Amino acid sequence: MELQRREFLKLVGTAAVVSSAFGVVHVASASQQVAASPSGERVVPVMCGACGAGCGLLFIERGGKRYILPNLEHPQPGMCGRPASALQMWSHPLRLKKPLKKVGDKFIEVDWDTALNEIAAKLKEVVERYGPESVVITRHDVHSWFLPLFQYLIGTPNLIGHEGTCHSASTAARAAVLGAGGPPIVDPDYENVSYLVLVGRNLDAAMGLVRQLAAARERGVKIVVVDPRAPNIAFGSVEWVPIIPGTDAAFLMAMAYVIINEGLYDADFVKRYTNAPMLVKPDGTPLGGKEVGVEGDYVAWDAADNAPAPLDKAKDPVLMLSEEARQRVGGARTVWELFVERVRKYPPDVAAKITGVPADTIVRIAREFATARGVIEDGWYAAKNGNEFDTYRLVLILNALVGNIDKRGGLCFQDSAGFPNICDPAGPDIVAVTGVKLPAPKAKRLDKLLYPLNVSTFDAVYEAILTGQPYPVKALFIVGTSPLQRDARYQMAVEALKKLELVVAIDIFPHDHVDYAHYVLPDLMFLEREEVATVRWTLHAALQKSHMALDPPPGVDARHAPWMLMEIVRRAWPDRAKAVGYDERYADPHKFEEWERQFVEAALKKVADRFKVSVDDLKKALEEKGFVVLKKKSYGVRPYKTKLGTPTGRVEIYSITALKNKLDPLPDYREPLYTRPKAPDEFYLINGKDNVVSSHFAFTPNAKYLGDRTVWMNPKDAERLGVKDGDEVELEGIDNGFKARARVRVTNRVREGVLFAYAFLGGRRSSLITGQFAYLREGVNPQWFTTGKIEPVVGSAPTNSTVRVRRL
Amino acid sequence: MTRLAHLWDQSRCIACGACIAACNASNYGSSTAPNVSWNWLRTNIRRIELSNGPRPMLYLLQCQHCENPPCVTVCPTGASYKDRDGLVKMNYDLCIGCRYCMVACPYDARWFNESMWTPVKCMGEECQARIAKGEQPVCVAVCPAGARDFGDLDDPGSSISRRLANSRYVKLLDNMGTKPKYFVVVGP
Amino acid sequence: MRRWLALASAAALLIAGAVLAWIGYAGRSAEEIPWGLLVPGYVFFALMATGSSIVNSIYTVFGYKGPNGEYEKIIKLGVWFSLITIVPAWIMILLDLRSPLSAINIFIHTQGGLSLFFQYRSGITWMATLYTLFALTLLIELVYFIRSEVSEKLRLMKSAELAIALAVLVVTVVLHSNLGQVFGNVVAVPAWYGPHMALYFIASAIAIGAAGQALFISAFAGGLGVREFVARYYSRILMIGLPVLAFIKGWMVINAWYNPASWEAYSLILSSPNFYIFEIGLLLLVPFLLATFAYYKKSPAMALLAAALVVIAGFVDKYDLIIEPQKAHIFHSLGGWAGVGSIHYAPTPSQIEIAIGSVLVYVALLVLGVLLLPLKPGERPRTLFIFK
Repeated sequence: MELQRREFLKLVGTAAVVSSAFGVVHVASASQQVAASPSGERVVPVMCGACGAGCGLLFIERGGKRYILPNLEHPQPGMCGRPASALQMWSHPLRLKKPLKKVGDKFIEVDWDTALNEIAAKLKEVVERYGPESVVITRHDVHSWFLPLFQYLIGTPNLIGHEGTCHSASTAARAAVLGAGGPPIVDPDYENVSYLVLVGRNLDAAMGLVRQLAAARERGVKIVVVDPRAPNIAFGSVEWVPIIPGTDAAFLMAMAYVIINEGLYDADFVKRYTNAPMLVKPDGTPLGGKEVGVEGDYVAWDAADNAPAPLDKAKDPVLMLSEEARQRVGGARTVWELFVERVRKYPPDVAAKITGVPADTIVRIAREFATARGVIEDGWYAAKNGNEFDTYRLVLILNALVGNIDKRGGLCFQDSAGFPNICDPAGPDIVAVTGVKLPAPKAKRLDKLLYPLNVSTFDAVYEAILTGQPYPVKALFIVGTSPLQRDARYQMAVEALKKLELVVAIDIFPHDHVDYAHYVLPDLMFLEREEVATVRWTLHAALQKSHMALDPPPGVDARHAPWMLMEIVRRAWPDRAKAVGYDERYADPHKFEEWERQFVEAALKKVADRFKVSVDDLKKALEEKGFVVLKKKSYGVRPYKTKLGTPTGRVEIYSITALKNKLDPLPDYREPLYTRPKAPDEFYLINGKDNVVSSHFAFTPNAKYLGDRTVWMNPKDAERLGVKDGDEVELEGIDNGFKARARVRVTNRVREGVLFAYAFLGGRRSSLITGQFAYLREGVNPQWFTTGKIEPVVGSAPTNSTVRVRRL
Repeated sequence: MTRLAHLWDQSRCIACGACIAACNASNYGSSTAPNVSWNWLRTNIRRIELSNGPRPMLYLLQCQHCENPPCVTVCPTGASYKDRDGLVKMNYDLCIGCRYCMVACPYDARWFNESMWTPVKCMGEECQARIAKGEQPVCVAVCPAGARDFGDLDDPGSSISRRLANSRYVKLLDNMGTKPKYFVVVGP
Repeated sequence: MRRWLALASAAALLIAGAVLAWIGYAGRSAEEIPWGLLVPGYVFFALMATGSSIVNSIYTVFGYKGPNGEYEKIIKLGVWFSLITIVPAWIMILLDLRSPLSAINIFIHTQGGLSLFFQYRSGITWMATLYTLFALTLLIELVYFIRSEVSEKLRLMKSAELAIALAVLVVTVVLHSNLGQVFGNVVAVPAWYGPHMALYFIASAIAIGAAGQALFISAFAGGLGVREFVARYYSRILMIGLPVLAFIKGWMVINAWYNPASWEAYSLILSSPNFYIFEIGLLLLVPFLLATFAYYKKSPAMALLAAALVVIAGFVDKYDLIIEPQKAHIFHSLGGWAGVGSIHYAPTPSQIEIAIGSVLVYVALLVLGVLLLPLKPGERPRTLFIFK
């Protein structure tokens, strides 16, 4: 695909959003892309599905050998050990092969028609009896584009994902402080960063980001990893700061203390682009313009006029008021004054006691970070201790303190590819990307009723199932996600699943929840299907297309999940299916892509229109190279040229969104939502991933060696307790009394007082795990010990806990 | 002369396992059978974690393609030989499976493939085919962290030569007289 | 009648052993260490064969006939014993290769046309060469002694007899010292590396060879009237050989202490009770005392007990010496301080099957030799040149 630079500049000039772009649509060299040649070599662009990041890969088949390579031209090239093991996932003996139906307490294989008809009938019955909102659909990243269509065809508001035990808290922080969305929307400009601090982020995904960071490391960029355990990235030349779990906010507060105390902050940025100068009344609400005779909802004190002015119009806003000025604004204080007062509670030596990190380390890192104008990564997985909303707000504020927002090498906003949702609410309706209208659900989404600032909080669904509040939930579709591996309070989740009248599990492997399903439907894995999606982890606006590389292996009658779901809708409500152009023609799964294509093409048309390029060119690039870069990242846009999506349009150190939701508008260090360890045999049990862990990859034989199912213990603790490497111990959750056994690995990768176990890996319990894979049962599932308390409003469920260790 | 060599950068490696698993996929057909010699997967790269010291450290180990390879000296049939390009290779037709080379290798870089009843090691068949085409071996091709390189030491313009000129590196078990060509970079 | 029974039993034993070994061969698997049970098994029998051949050289080269010329009576049995004892070694090692016939690749390459090959730097190449020479020279010696019974001309060719005997001696000495250096030349295993392996193997060979031969000869000692000779002669060899063995082993242990990598291997050996029971007790101490007692008291029973202990403990000694340093080698690949994993090895059923099968075949061949060949004094070759 070739666009002349001149033509592109013309197009871009008329685009609404960006004014200073000069990027050229990326043209890949043809060297890597070889069409099927007589020698039988195949090179197929694929979007990785071995974790949720979606890096660009190439499936290679040559000389009878099949393996995966990174797609180096792609804006987010892979890869890690997970897709490298993709062929093992593809041909895995435990792969779900045929539709299963629960009869008594056993599964029997049934044919697709039987399964789909029965599910449709039951679904229809449930909807008729309890209303469409009694049907919940849960998902992770896979199929997340398609599912809203299924959701709205049923008429339920409840498409509730995994984010409550993933990034709900950090995304809520991004929304509150920057007016931005999910984890990739705001990200460090890794390639150009000058100093990087990772707080509870281990960069186990995406590898495309790791590649960019590698370029920065060539320049000698320093990386600081603040984490109670050393993730895989800490094997190399990084500074690992082993911190006590749940105390990140105190660490960050102390960094702010040093930066403010030593004047290392960017005062100009703070005044112009954050709400630091904003005046706040003694009751905590912002001083309104009307109250002091100026326009607007937000007021600052303008030193130029020695008078209050609208926040955005003040020519020289002050950060600290004089006493005279304060009297003139009724005793109001600036956000900066309030923030500094808050920060004063955490000088480095106080933070040192809380965090277990030496004071001079905190001071040094603060100085290095501020002087280098570095970036603290804004967080992805944040459901750890139940106090992460504050932690990640502090991260964003610290980046703002050094003025490093949306600059080259700073914490940047992603240029959006604008790939439309398959359907969006519009007025009283839901409008599909093809233009078809569907009725909007009447009921409100379950978890949003309790957690208005969340992304998803699935815990609310379990509660609704068990208590019937706020309304009953009777059916659940689990699509490509593992609730029992991901959600807190495992035992309660199992109880809830057992109470449902219809549970349909759509997956490729037997995760724990499969045992509680009434129907299990085998899905295709990422090498077997085609998909168009945004390239998630790049600051450029880009799309990618994953091509089909392989059919499922013989004996695996897996089919495309969207087909299964549309078939269910068609069999339950044929008229609704017809309304979106889906009829019995598509009962043949091979014909399905004709129907699916119209949605993808409609979406691509919207993108083409947005970027003023031809749809055909777009499709050609996606077809041949597997990706297209629509626009390269433009720096210096937000909040400089475009306001942020916050109430003030600025970086909100004082979050008005939080205030409106009755949360502390300023971040603070708060206690975790589980009991801390006190006795010598009590330990924090923390969890996380590495680039060798994912829910699917866990099943592969490679994962047996690359990952581990042990519980990590620091050598000093091991010596103290008389535990040796490989010993078996019993863990007892001190908040819920749950007991389980695991092998200990004595390693310096975890700090004293803390145990670590990989999430999603150990303690598998499905009865479909048999034979040589019995080892998957070893280890613990960290969710067995979690309290299930939820961080208020942001709906994040901590997955850390405290356990008592007993040597066996 | 050509002297092909590997480079592994310990200061950049993120232990993602891509090289380990990709070797298994490309050279060993994603085999799921266990590698009994190493209690590992069937791959030419093994991972050694040093978890008792003051901070975690990692080694990735594979055939060092020594210039003075003890595995070639002890091989009674000439199955293990040093090729003109500097790589130590295996001619499986000649191998009698006596495993003297496994015993003689100070790096334990060879593992035993019981279905062929021969020791195997880096480089596998697919990587050798790739090198013949001017491509990088699979482990280098997949590394996302820029922690690997490969090329001709006798070509001062090759990327490995340039990288070595800008790095501090160590060689493993230098005192054994093997003259290994696997460079472990420890910093710039 | 009894002879046919004996022949049939020996043949049955031969077949049973072959079948067992074949079953073992079919069920082979990979182990955590490269050289498992079959290698010390092979080494053991190779040492017994070459060692007993050296013991024979005391007569054939150095002319010691015994106080009453007893050696002349047992020499053919002795040579047969040396020759056949190499067979179980060959079986075990060939069944440990990719295929038994693949060993031809050591000398002949068939790819791209026929060509000869000789990797002179490889200890195994020399082992193959020396075994061939060993078999050849011993066969010639055996045939010489058998034909000497009926050929006056041969009996008079004393210089030829000496030349053959010398050839045998040279080959055996080079063979078992080279066998030692197959291990001793491996720099990668510090516990093995050094010239001491050649010396240790020679000393072991003499002790084990004497012991093995003593057990074999004692079956016929009564009938040949050499009981007292057997009791004293072999005991004397043990009385000299075992202290030499202890001397060498002692210095090996002390020397290993100075190299942490070697000590890693020796710690594994020394930390097991096996070492004290077998390598010290039943290989050195007890047999030495028994042999001394047997020598002065002229007790065949004591002598045989000492021999039996040396045979059993000699195998355990070789097993430990070959197996344990391989486990430690893996530990120390990159620094023992790292505490890199632990290796477990136990002989697999298939290896045990091959080993036992080989031993059964060995015993069967020994018996068949005595039944079919004129090995006892006064027996003459009547059929097919060398058979009874």
